[in-house]
Amino acid sequence: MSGRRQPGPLGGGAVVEDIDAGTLARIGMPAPAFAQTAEQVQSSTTGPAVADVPMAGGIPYAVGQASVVRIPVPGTNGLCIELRPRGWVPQSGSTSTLFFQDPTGKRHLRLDYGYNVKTRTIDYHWNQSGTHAQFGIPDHTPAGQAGEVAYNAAKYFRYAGRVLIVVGVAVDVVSIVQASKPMRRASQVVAGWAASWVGCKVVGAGGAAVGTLASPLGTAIGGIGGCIIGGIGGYYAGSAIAGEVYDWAENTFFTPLPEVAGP
Amino acid sequence: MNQTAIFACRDPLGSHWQLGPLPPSEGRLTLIGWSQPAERRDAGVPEEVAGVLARALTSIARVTFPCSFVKPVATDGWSPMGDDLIRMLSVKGLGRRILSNFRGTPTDITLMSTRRPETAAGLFDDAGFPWWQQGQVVLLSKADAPPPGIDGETLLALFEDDWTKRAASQLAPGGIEGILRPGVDGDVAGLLSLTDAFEQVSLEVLQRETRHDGFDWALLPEKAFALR
Repeated sequence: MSGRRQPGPLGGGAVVEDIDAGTLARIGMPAPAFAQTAEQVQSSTTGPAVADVPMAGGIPYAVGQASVVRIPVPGTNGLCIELRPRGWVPQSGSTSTLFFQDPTGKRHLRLDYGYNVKTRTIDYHWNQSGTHAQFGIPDHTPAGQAGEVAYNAAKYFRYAGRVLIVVGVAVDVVSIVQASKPMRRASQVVAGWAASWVGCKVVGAGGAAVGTLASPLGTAIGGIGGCIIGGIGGYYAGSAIAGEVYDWAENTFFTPLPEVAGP
Repeated sequence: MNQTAIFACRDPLGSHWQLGPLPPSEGRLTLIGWSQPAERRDAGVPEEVAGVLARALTSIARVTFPCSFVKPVATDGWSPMGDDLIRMLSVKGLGRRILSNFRGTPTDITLMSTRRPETAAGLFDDAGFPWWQQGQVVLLSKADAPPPGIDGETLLALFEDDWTKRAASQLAPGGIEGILRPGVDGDVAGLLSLTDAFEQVSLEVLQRETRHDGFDWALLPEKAFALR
C-alpha cells in the first residue's frame, strides 16, 4: 500500500465530492437501466452520489459548543463566560441566563430578570458578587434594553446550542460510517472536536478581552463570537492535520534492522 | 439610616418575593430583610447580618441545611463532624441517578446539622447551594432533639412553589418547627413557622440578637418593608 491511494469511484460519470483529499464518500452506483434517456442517466448518477456525500459536523458542533464551554475572560482572575449557573439552583430559583463566574460561582456577575429590590420593579438587571473591580457594576444595576436582548439571546442559545452539538456529533458519526476510510475519518473527527475546544477557548478569550473594553455585554458577545469562530477554525484545522498525520502514518514503513549475532 | 438594620414583615402577600403562593396554606410566613448605611455592591447576605441570623436560629433550633463545604460522607445515617452532624442523602439506583442528572437535580446532598452559629453562618455563603440564587433551604427543628429524618426527595420538594404545603404535611410530624428559604435574589429570607409559638419566639430572638450587635430592628408592614 505504500505510496498508493485508494482508487476513486469508477464509472457512471459520477461527480463525487471528497470529504478531503484522502477520504472519499462511498457512493452507490445506479442500478442498470435498460431504457433511460441521457438526462435520466445523468440525474440518477449524480443525484445519489452528491446526496451520499457525508458532511462534516464542524459548524453546528462549534457553534453549539459555545453554549457549554467555559470561555475565559482575561484579566479577571479566573472569571469565565457561561450560560448556566454553578452550584445547585432549583427551577424556582434564579432566572439568570448569562454568567461571568469563577469555578465555584461565588464570584459572579449575572444577567437576571425579575423583581429588583433596588428599583422596586421587575426588570432586567445585573446581580454581582466580588466582580465590581473587574466590571464596575454594583449589584442590582438595571441592564436596559441591550440587557433584555442579551438575556433572551442567552436564554435561547443555552438550549439551541445543545441541540446543535447533538446535530454536529450525529453528522460526524454519519460521516465516519459513510467514509471510505472510517478510521481516518474518525481520527479527523476526534481531532476536530479537540481542536475546536482549544480554538473556542483561545479565540473566545481574545474576543472577550476585546469586548470587555466596551461593557460586560461586549465581553459576552466577543467571547461567544470568538468561541464560535475559533471553534470552527479549530475544527477544520484539527481535522486537516489529523488527516495528514493519518496519511503519513499509513504510508510510513519501518524497516526492521537485520539481526546480528552477538559477539 | 446610619447603621445596619434588620427588618421583619409578618404575613406578606407579594408574589415578587419568589417564595411561592402567599399566604401559605398552613403555617405563617415572616419576611426578614436587612439594609446597610452604605449601598452594598455585592449580592448575598452581609457577613454581620449572617452572624445575627445564625445566632438567632441556633439559639432556638437545631439548624439543618444542605452544604458543600464539608467533605461528604458515604453513610446514610448521621455522623459526627466536630460538634456538628453530617449525613449524605443519595439518590438510589442507576436509573434514578441518570434521571436526576437529566433533570439537573443533585444526586448526592450532604446535610449539615448544627447548634453552632459559626457553622450555621456558612449556609449563607455556600457556593454549592447558593443562597443568592435561591439554592438553599434550612430546616429548623427542636433544639434538644436529634437531627430530623428527611429523604432527598422531600428535601428537594422544599424548593418547589408549594413548599409551604409540603413542609406542613410532611415535615411537621417529624419535629420540624420552621423552614427558612431565600427569597428573590437572596435579598430577603422567608421564615415559615409551622406553629404560632415558634413564630413568636423566632421574632423575639431575632430582635434580641439584632439589638445585641447594636443594629436597628423593626417589624414593618409589607409596603414599608419593600421600601426599606
